[in-house]
Amino acid sequence: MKPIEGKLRKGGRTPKKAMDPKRPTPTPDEGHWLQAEQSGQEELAEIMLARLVAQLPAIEPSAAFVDRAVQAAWRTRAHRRRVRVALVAAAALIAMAGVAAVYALAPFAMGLIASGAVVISHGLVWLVTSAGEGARWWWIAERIGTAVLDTISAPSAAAAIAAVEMILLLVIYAFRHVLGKDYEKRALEVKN
Amino acid sequence: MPVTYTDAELVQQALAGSQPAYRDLVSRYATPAVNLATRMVRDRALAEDLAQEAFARAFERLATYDQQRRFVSWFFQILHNVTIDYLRRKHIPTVSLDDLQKAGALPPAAVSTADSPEAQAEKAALARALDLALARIRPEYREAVVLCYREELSVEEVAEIMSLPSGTVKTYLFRARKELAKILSAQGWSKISARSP
Repeated sequence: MKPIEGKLRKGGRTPKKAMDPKRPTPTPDEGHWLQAEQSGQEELAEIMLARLVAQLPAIEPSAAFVDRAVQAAWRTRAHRRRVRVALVAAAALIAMAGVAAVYALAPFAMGLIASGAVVISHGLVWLVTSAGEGARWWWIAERIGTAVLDTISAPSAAAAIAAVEMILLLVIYAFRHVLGKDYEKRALEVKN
Repeated sequence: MPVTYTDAELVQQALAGSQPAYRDLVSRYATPAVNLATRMVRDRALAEDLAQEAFARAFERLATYDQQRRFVSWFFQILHNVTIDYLRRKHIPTVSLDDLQKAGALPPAAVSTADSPEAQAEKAALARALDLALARIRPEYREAVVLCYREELSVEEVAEIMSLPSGTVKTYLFRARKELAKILSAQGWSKISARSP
């Protein structure tokens, strides 16, 4: 069974139905909430319990509670104001620092960018020049190599080289033969 | 003769920077706030800290307060969030019956002087037992019971505070009542009450 619909009023100490002459109105002598519970008188039981709970002694706060609560509320408000002011000040400070940093660092940044541009452009010029130089020396070496090869690979030049080589071989053989005879003669003289 | 301002007027003055106005608001709702928080976390000092945190948070969000709504309902929603956050972080287990009494978190029960001494004693004992039984039921049931029956908010307001459908709050109230009855019956209260006139 559910509690009675709209049984309690907002402002009073007594449940609404208890004020209604058509409803059962418990009196102190009428009995007990638990008796009403046991006898299944739900409406009466609820009214009596409401009355019992309403009569429970209040737990009073300590004497200093009101002062403490008000001071805490005021402290909280003051703290919130301080925090808000600090946040606004911090935001303003950050914005100002940002603007100042842009103004202060702008020349330095521009100089840095210009220096970087100069270094990069010089580097490019050096690279291009070095590549040109390298290409030029490589071209000279290649020309020399080509001339040598052309000379060597010509039939007349090749025949001349072969003839020179043959002559050189014959000269070496002749020298060896002459020197060999002279060596044997000296060896016999030593033995005898 | 001091002028009594409505909650909405005090909120307006506090928004304009009046500390006395906010002090009046805090004074008005300090007891219900500490009462609810203590019943939720079962530690009075901690409950005061949570209530203080809720008042500070409420002050921070005072500009968002819709004056069509009752201030108490709006404030309890903040306190609910602060308390639930704490309970979720700490995973507070269900307390034993005697813990609160030992800790002195619960004040002695108030009794009517019109009753006989025996009836007064029984009522005080029942109130104490009910207080302790409240500590044993689920926190959401306890909160619904305290807000609805103790602070006398409507089911719709409690639903808004707890961010639940009204039907769920009604179910919580029903189950809370049944659990409380079960706990107290197990302690023999039904037999005692049966003997009472």
